[in-house]
Amino acid sequence: MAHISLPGELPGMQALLAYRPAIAPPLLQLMQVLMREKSVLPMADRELLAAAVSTANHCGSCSGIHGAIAAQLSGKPVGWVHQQCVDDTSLPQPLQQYLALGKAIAHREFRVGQRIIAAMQLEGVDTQAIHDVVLIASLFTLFNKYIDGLGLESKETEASLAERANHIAKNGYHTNQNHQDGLD
Amino acid sequence: MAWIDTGNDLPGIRSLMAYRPDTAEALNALAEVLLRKDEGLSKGERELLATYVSALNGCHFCQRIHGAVATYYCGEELTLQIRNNIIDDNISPRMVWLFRLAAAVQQLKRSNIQDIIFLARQAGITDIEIHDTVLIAAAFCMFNRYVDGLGTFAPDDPDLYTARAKKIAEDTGYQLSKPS
Repeated sequence: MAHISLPGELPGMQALLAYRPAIAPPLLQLMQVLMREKSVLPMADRELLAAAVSTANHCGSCSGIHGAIAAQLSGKPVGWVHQQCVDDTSLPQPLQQYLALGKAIAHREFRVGQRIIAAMQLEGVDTQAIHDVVLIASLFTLFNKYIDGLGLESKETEASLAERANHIAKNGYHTNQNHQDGLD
Repeated sequence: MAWIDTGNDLPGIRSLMAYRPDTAEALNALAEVLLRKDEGLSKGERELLATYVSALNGCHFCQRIHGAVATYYCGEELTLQIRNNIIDDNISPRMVWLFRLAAAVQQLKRSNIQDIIFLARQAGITDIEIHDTVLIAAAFCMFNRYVDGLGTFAPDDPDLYTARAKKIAEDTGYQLSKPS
């Protein structure tokens, strides 16, 4: 049971966006710009970062859906994705650095983050990539705390997550007609 | 200067917003819906919550600019008290629950959150107020990380924040504010 009365049986963020429709446009716009628009960060890597940050913040419902999206976009099994979220040592650079920076941001370890940023800059990582990794990690900290703060519990199965992930992987987050589409 | 080259020397989040206008637009729209309403929570209460969470997160720029907007609505004494995390008898019982809830979200203490929400509802606080408090706290955990995670700077001069706060309160809000 969520800590407040929410309408219907919508999963995760969808329930909150339906409850407070005014917050949906800015949050969906942020998701669309950061997670879907053209960037030097591959889309699958951004979703893996979102899942890793959510894992670091112990938010099962966010790591569940974004891990499933990362799996679909990368063509890797969901289990592999969740393994990388807890142990990223076998990932190539700069992806490993993206995850390390994202987790440092989630934990507010800004001196650690500063060192990772300096190392990325020495290796020629694009400035906007660094910016976006920090903002994605910050944004998912918002989602994780929002969902957990209101006590939303995921009732999803692996099959329902895969179906929703497939929809988001194909269509993105931004929907003109219906805010209940998309974001978790 | 920030830890990345933003191509400008603006302070705090404004440097990042000038660097990446696409995300700035959505971030300002989010601040607008969270902070610029008097439904349930007043604008002043929303700014106090933003200031409080930013202070708990040690984010100088955010606690100073939102502290300046909170001062505009609620006065300097109360705002300073909140920035210094002194939640005592001078604070209304209703706001005490909301500050406790915001702190529990900032620290992500799940069991505390559940207890606080249970007691807050018994004290007559509505679901919308609880929702907005949780989302403001969560959102400032984002804004604070964004500002400090990229090493932006916070100027010392208090007049800069006061002038900016007046402009936000009386003229632009967040939606129409420009970074420069």
